[in-house]
Amino acid sequence: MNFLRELLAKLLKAAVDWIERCIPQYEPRAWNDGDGVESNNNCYNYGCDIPTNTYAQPGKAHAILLDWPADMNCGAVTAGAVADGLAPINCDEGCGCDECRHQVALVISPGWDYHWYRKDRDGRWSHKMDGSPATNLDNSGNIITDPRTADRGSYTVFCGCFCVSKAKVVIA
Amino acid sequence: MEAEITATVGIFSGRPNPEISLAGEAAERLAESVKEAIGREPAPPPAPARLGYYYGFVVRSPRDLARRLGLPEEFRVYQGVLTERMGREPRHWRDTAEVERTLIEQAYQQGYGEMLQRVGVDASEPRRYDVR
Repeated sequence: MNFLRELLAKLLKAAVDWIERCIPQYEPRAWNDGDGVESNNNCYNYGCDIPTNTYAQPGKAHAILLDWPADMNCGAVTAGAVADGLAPINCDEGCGCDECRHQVALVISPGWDYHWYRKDRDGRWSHKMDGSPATNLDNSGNIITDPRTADRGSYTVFCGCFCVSKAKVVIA
Repeated sequence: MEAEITATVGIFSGRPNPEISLAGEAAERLAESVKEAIGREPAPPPAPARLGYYYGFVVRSPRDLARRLGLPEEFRVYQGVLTERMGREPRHWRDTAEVERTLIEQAYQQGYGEMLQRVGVDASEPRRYDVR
């Protein structure tokens, strides 16, 4: 009986590990090197978990150039992200486990800027402001359990969630 | 072409931040201020950046210019603290020579005043940007 229970536990853990391999771990040290990685990658790079060292812009890899400030709205930034391969989803449903994907969220400071959060393996969310260090804290210093309720300063508009398949998404 | 110091103004998260440049006398004046502050008074690290607010300058100089002026090739200044790196280790110094203020004034002069005001930085109010 014990043998069966242990076998089932091992199988269950293997299945969970297999699914979770697609979800980034919160490892700020990998991004916060105080040098090129930290300085040259923004919230979109961090959200997608793809460091390009180019301050990647939604759509740029697919010839969509966001105009400032006119395109600083949900529609335009979403269109760029979708062109890059991000797939809109219901935030509460998540990205499932049929594909190797992780979840990100887009918010907007209207007419000013956009920002991305990503959901990590621990179920919490983290983010990285432009050339600043990655963190899992919001503006009030609280751990981010849901970007919809986090203190986001002037980034008041919550646009929605997306799935990122690192094998399919191309950003620049 | 004359080598320039460039300073990235930290105001955006997704969009590329604006950049200002300093050459000639302006670069030399900035270098004097930086040399005056670095190594003088150790400081605690600045508070973490907050989304939607100003979060300081990253100042970079080409290697030759940095050597000539005696500057670090890259340093940050935020909330009255200068941060340079020795390898991976950051070293923080109190900005006793108003380096940050000089850069804010330069940013205003180079056309970024409105943007800075939007994120809470007013060059006409001394130390307004020092939010600690």
